[in-house]
Amino acid sequence: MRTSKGGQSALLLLDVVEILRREKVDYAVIGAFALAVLRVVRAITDVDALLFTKPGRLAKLEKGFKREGFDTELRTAEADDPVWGMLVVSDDFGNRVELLGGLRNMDPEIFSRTLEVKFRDETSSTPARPTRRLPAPLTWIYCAP
Amino acid sequence: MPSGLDTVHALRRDVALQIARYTERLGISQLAAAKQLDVPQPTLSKIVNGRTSDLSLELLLRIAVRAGLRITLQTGLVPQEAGAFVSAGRRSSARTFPSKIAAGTHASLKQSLRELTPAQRLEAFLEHNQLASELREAGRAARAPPSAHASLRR
Repeated sequence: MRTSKGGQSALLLLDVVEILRREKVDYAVIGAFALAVLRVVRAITDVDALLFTKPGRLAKLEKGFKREGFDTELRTAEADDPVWGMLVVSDDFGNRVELLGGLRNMDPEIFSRTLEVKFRDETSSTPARPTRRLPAPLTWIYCAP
Repeated sequence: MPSGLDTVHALRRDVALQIARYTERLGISQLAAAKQLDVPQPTLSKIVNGRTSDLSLELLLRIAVRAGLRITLQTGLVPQEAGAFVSAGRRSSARTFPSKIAAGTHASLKQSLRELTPAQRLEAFLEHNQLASELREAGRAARAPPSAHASLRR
């Protein structure tokens, strides 16, 4: 894991992304953290991402994250909830990545509106694991207001 | 000691961006938006296109006020930390979620923050802000048009 203290949910995201890529799950970072791409930095400490996957897959993903040593919490929604599942991945430092399993009636085309942003490229190093290969460019989505 | 000029430039760009997004949301012509905001159309054009070098921060703030935007300005140790934030104008405690699952997750996030000491919370926010600023720079690079290289090759 890349994290070494609190406030590093963005680094936890990089770990999470490695697993998502391995599992071939499309994702897009959303919410306040993604707004930083639009030069709006807000006082939050968690990171949200939207996955394009199915309910059963979210449960399998949870097992995968657990195997890798992450703390997880899987929340399933009621039938009328627009979000049908949420997987919260966290570490011992209180860093959190909240993975929205999907939105009901979500148009998959929404992922075509994402902007790819390279965040901490492969040449960067992290104190925790300096030789570890960082993931390829991340995909971010920002929602127009 | 930094002059702060770069910070003012960053704030100008951010306020202009918020105004540009507001006018885009209006869905009307630029001329109509300029009339609504009581600014000359060329001035609004500069704002929308991010050409803010000869516009004062005060003017931009006055336009933002006319637009009814609730803007919070933040400065920092470096210009990259500066920003203009638009508030929805309601307290976070009164925040409503259309999704129960999102509301529950938000509550659990707040609880986990409460478990930190004030010093830990501050440190976490600062650390996160640092990473977000890094992302902001990465976003800027991602959004930069590749035209500079193309024109050099011509």
